[in-house]
Amino acid sequence: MKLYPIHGLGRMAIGLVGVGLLVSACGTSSTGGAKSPKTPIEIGAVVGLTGTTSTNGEYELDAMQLAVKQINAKGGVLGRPLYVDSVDSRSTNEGVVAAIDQLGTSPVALVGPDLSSEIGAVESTIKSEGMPDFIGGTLPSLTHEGNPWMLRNRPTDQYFAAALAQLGVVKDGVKSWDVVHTTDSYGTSAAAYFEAQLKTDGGTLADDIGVTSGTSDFTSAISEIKSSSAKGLVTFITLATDNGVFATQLRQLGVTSSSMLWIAAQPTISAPSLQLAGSNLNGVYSVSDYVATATPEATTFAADLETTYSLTADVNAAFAYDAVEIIAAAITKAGSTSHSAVRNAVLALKNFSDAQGPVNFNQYGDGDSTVYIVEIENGAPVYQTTVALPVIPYIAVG
Amino acid sequence: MTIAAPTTIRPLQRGFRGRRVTGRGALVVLVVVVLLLVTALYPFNDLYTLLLTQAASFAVAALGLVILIGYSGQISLAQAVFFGIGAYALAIGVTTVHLEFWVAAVAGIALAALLGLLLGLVSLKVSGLHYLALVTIGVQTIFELWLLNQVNVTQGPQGIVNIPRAPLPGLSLDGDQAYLVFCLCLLCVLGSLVWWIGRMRIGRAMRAVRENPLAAEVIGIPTYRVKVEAFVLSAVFGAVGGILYTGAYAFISPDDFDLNHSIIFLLLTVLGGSGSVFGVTLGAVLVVFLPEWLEFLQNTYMAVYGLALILLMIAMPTGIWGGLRLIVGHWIKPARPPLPAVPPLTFRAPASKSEVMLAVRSLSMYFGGVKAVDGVDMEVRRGQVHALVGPNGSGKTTLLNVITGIYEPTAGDVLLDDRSITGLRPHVIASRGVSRTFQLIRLLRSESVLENVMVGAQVGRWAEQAHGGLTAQAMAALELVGLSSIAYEDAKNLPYGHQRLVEIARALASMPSLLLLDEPAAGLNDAEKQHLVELIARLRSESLTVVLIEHDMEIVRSVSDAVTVLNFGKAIAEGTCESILRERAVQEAYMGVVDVVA
Amino acid sequence: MSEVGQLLVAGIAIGSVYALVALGFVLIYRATNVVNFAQGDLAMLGAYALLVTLTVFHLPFWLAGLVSLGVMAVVGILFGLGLYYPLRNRGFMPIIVATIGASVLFENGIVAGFGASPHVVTGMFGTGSFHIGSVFVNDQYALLVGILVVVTAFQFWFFEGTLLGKKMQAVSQDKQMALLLGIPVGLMIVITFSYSTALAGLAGVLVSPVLFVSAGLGSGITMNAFAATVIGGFGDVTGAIVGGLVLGLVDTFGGAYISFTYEQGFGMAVVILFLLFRPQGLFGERVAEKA
Repeated sequence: MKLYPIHGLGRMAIGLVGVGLLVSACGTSSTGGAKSPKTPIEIGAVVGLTGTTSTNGEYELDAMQLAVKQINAKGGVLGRPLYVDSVDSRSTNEGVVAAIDQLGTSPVALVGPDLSSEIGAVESTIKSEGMPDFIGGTLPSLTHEGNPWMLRNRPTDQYFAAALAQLGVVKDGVKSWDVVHTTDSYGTSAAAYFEAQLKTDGGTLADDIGVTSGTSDFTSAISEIKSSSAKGLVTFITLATDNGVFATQLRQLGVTSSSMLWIAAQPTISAPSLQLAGSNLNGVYSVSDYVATATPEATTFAADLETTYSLTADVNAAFAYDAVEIIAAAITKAGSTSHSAVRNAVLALKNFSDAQGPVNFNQYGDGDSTVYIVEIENGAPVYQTTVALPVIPYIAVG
Repeated sequence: MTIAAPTTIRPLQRGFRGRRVTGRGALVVLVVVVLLLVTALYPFNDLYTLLLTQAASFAVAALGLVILIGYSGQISLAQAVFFGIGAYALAIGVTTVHLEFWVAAVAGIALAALLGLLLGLVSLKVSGLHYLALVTIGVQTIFELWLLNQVNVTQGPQGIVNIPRAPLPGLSLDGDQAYLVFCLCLLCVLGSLVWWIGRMRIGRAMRAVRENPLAAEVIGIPTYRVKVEAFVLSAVFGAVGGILYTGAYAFISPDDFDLNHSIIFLLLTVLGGSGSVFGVTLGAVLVVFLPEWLEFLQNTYMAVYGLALILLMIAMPTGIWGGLRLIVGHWIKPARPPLPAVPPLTFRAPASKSEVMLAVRSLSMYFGGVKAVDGVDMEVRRGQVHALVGPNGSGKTTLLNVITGIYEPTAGDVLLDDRSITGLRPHVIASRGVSRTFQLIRLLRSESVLENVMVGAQVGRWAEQAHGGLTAQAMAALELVGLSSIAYEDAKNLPYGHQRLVEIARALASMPSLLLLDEPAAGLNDAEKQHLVELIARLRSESLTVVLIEHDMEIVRSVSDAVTVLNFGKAIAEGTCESILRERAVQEAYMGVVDVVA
Repeated sequence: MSEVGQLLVAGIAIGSVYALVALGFVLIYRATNVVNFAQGDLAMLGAYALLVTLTVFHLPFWLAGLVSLGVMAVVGILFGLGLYYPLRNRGFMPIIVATIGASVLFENGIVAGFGASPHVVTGMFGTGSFHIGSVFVNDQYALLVGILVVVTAFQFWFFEGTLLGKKMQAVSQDKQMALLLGIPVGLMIVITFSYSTALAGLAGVLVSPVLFVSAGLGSGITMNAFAATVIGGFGDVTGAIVGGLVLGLVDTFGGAYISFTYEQGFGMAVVILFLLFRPQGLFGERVAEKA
């Protein structure tokens, strides 16, 4: 059947209309319904469930669900149950921003992202939306950009750096250090802060080696380490598989605990990483904001997570779990779910006790300055001591 | 003698400036305006506004791939590099160096164009699309590493924040919806530009290069330049897309410009339909939105997304736009504007020049140990039909290939109008007025007859000939060979004899002064051969010089003024048809030596 | 110098992984002109097959490996039939995109099925190793190199010495002609896919004790396998092996002496330079078209 002939552009236009209708059918704004006293309170979670940072996402999400379960079992918050609305960030900047947009302003607070570059991507949206966001990234500047909604219940890299230096340089007296760091937003900045701290504490940097995420062979890097004069090694390696391969190869190529003092930053003792590295990390020290044997709360949390979700508790799980606990406590204290009331209540918390240790938020939104020293024995981190650190004023480095 | 301007010609597509605004064109513009208004006023939520803006920026970048992959038939897995250069140049320029937005944007586009030029030049050296793909992957890999580690320039993995949007005089783009409309407007404008490029000479040249690079080169299209131009254009659009992207997120980091993103650009281009502006827009929307639409599946949603890509590709291998066209095409036929009735081409008698138009001096062409052409001398007189005959494998086609520049001879010289053309590139030789046809027909099979001949027309020097532009010129050539009635047929649907004639029309459309025909009668039936003979005779009567490779001695006898006989790469006889047939060497070459048994 | 020796061993080890994957890559390309973007992910699937046979069925490593190969051979058949067959006459772009889709499907399907956490598997000889002088050699890598040699020898014998192999060669050189000769081209191509996938799976099985079983195992390998194929000369099997080893060595030595951070870039830079000066690769042929 020959109809009115249409110019090629005309067909294009028809198609445009079709696509437009299709898209617009899906794109209407959702307006939240009126909240009755018994409606559940929503906590938004932005986690990496697919893509390259996906080993942490499962731990964070399940830990949050555990917290919610426990709180709801005790009657919820203000008589209302909590629930977690999670969106996959796909481990991309675009995905993380889309996730935040998708969650919108209906949650009382957000948890995540946990990677510093992803947090940078969503920072302006959080600010314009005006809702509390518990971030898992340790980059110090994240809470010093004039955004009052960034809340961080983890120590910053400044604290970790100070702890590392205190342990390695001051306590153990090792002066010359090699630094190996992943070239992502976490590794680069954490290493920079450590290297600055090293200078302050009278140590020297022998070699700085940047490793790309997903490296399958570290032989070249390790031969650099072996040929340097350093007696100490600090690593800021983010991915679990990288940690596993590096630790294994380091030992295979002859660098033992007796030949070099190795302190690994906290991503190395995430549960997936420990699993992969196995016995190669025995004798290695770490600085961490969570270890199961540090406090009774920490131990209870680890036991509960194991029982309920068959997961070994680690820093990422603890961060997410505690975030929910803090949110719940803040809502109770504020007596309201309004964003600003909750935020103010968070800042007003004094010595709030949770799995990571006591939490006190300063005016910038940083709440945790407790860093533990752990030693890895039989493939598990064992609490040694808590580092006594003064309040460290923020400086920008790197 | 020039032809008087015929009175029946209607002015036709004279190029963009001369295009009449048709009723249908107005309808299209109206629909697009309505759509833009809808996007501006409809209350999309934040997520959809963001995703649409992202899709728009991806679509703009993919416009570059429409040109590179769809038009010129090349490949790139480095589109994210150009995207990133645009984005980073803008971000660094504005936030660190404190340049004006437009200065930084232009700088970014210029940088990208430069890299596109380099990449294009490199692409000329690699032989084959798979190699080219790998070169682009290599460039992408190195770029990623550089972005990540060159911290003092790019801020490294931390990324760059607070990137401002384009400052428009009198308009604020601070609102996300306003910015979306801006991006869509830009997409419309740039999309129309790319669509127009496809319709114009450069697009036609690119398609010729894509379908048949050798034929394109010999027709007279500077294939190297066209390929490099395609790369430069793809870089420019990529950079513009990157600049739009920075405004969508106000934040960039090296993660945004990795190999995965280059793969996504390739993916959305092919999925949407690589030759079509609208196709890549569809592809961009699909690739950006499909994961969101599938999220309800929870755990398996990304796996289903991968499966969906496979199924879509299997269902619609020419892309979604190709699939839609197929469906729509059942009901809506394509527009076929009426073609002018033009008189056939005529060729001017040349101004007095030397009698010998083409001279071949001691020409040798060796392929390793094979002496395809071995010390051949030949002179073709102006205005004559000179036949080149000989048994199979005697070197006739090789000789033609050397003359037209496809091979550089091992020794010897070729002179056209007393100027040496030895070793010149085929398109340069073509520009000096040499046209040829091929033994194995080399047409653009998926294009219409008219488009095929227009490719020939657009490289010619025929300003004096026909009024009415390329289409009229092509129609005149088709009229000459007698095929003007089937101008809109797809070349691949034609019977063999007609395809042969289309090739000849293409060769004639550029108004050559020397026409080389390689076995034009092969595969023709008697009637077709007769028609061919008449055509050659007519060309000869208009003083066009023709070199004719033929096996059919009847044809040679009836049209040729001079004959050169080759055997095993050597010229064994030259003269008129009668005289060479009497020579013993020629008889032996064709029929062998008779052993007389006593 | 033991350092050079160690780097040599490391380069050969990782290069052998690329070579093994590149072998399968080349075979698919020669038979079907397809660049398989999912080749590395097929190695990853092999690793997961190994995981299942080791942890669920508790088979010894060598048996688990063989079973995994069998599984991957079946996967290869499905891959060829499901992906290549419907698109076989459509030029190479749609197929490339389909293999990209397959890559997304495999990686995310594994995460959906097994979770995102990587898994540990024990190698053939436990965590065994030996030393050549002071140079450390991982048993598992030594095994991989050994198997690479065996596979190369097998392939040489198979393609040159058996009728089936000759038929497959015929198909890869000229499909039309092979069809006219009565060779079941479709069957040959399916066998090619099956064998190539099994090869990739073999690489995954052998390397997973060292690099762990994770969904992202393959993504870094695909492009390197592609590069190895090109260095060797697209279409040549020996070339793929040499290409893989060259790539591994260039990356390792570049990483040691120039910059570890840019390690992945050295191989690629070499590839680009290579293509500029010798576009047909080490062993490829310059093919000219009849004009």
